Amino acid sequence: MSKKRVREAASGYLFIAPWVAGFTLFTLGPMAASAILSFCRYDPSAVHGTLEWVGLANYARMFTGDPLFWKSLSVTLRYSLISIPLQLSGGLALALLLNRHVRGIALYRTAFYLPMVLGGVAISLLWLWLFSPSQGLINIGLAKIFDFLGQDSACAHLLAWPLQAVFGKADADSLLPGWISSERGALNSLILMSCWTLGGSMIVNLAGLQAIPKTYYEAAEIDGAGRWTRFWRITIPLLSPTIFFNLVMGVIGSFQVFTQGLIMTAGGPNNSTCFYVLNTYRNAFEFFRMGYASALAWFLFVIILSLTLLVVRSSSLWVFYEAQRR
Amino acid sequence: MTGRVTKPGRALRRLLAPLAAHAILIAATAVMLLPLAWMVSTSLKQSGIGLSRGIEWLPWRDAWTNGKETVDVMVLGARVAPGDGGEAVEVGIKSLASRRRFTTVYVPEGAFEAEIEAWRIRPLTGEDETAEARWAPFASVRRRVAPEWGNYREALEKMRFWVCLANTLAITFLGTAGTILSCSLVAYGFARFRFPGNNVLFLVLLSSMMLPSVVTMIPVYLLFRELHWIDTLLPLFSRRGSRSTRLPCSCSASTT
Repeated sequence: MSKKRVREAASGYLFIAPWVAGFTLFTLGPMAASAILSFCRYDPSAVHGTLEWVGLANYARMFTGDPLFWKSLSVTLRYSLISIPLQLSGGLALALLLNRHVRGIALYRTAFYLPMVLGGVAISLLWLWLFSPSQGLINIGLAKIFDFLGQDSACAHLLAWPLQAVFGKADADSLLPGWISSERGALNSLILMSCWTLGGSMIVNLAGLQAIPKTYYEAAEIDGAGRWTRFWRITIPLLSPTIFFNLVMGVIGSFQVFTQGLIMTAGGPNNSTCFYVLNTYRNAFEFFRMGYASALAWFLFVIILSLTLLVVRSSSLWVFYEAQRR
Repeated sequence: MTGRVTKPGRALRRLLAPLAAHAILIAATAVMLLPLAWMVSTSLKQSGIGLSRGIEWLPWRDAWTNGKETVDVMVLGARVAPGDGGEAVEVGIKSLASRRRFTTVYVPEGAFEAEIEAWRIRPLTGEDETAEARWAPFASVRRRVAPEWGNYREALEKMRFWVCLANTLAITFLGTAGTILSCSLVAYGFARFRFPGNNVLFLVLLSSMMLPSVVTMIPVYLLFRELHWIDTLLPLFSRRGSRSTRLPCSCSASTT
């Protein structure tokens, strides 16, 4: 290697040194440590902080001896399976709605993005009030509607039935939904709540929409393409990299959903919102089963990694990059 | 000539389309902003009231007056009590200053149902002179909009607001400064220099972002415990600077 190349390499390493240091100290080291911990029993709260090698016992326990593991996995899967498509389609619909030239569009965009500036905890606390079955804004509003329709009228029952089918019952003989206080409705309520922060994916979609050249639409219109055709033949293909990005981030994010479960429902009622990460967190920091929690965390990593790889691999089939036209 | 341009109704559609767009946008915006508005509205209400009076968007306050003195009160409830001239309604109220509870009696005339909404008294407004006259002999509860600004003062005092704000500001400024500094350095390093293993390292960087934080959470917690960094701000500065999701953005920005 020439002297110049050596100098260049040295400069390069020097520039990336901050990341290498941080990565080694706070990611690589802990990764290795947690991989080792997952084969151990470790309780830091014990007087002599026992660290004991147990082999694959933690993983065996996960699959055979812990019903809460399966419960939390199915809760997280259900949450992801419903909330990711909702987020994708809702974010796209909002972006389409806001991608037009009407007066005051900046105000509307701001309004839709506003919930995003609240933190996860603030959002959780706010919706905790809104969802309260007897004192919440939503149920009091619904009660007024039912009163207006007449408690025993067919209209009221027709409105109450789908709501209670999805969001549970407040009481045995009530028309009101139970939201997060009912076992049937808790998870669906949290999914509904996640739609309030659609502004994030809306902004990304909006940026993608505005990058599509107007000339394509004009050319298609001249060729006689209707709205529907233009949407499916121009908007969707050209937006597919954005949708792909939202999908990947959605998978990574929704499998790690945690805050709502901890603050709003504490995993309940009857573990119906005991998300996978919440279960891991509890094992680690409430029951001090650090080894078992590490094993849980690694299993989640494997799930997220394989799903992400699946999405990335499938992208050649449906994601269209303009730069690399075939 | 095609018939498209002169198609009847096209002008009308051009006029109505923005109106329809606004209608949809305003409705959707209202749904999005309702929870936020509710939070603001609740923050200005007297504590303890919450939703016990149903949905009230404005911070109404009740004041009891017998013509001579006026006291801020909270209406606790009302019940129908047999009175001299037919049915009367006994209303329980609590003085907010002295915390004293007392009842006052309203003798309604005519259709009483309309005056009472569930167990809550309908506000007596100044304009409604007849209603006031009807209720005046005994006492009346007047309602006015009175935001409880003291809630904010209380929040500032109770949660050690300034300490928390200082913490947040310190983390935000130091963390952002660290992120910008280290990210631009690292991005420049990856983009402008060739060195053995640069592609592999870049892939490692990208894949490390996929790593759920729970995987490293436990060892990082144990590490900080060993360093006696628990209950300090140090972990927040060091982690934000070293592991940031902004990195790829600045990387791609400097390569193009």
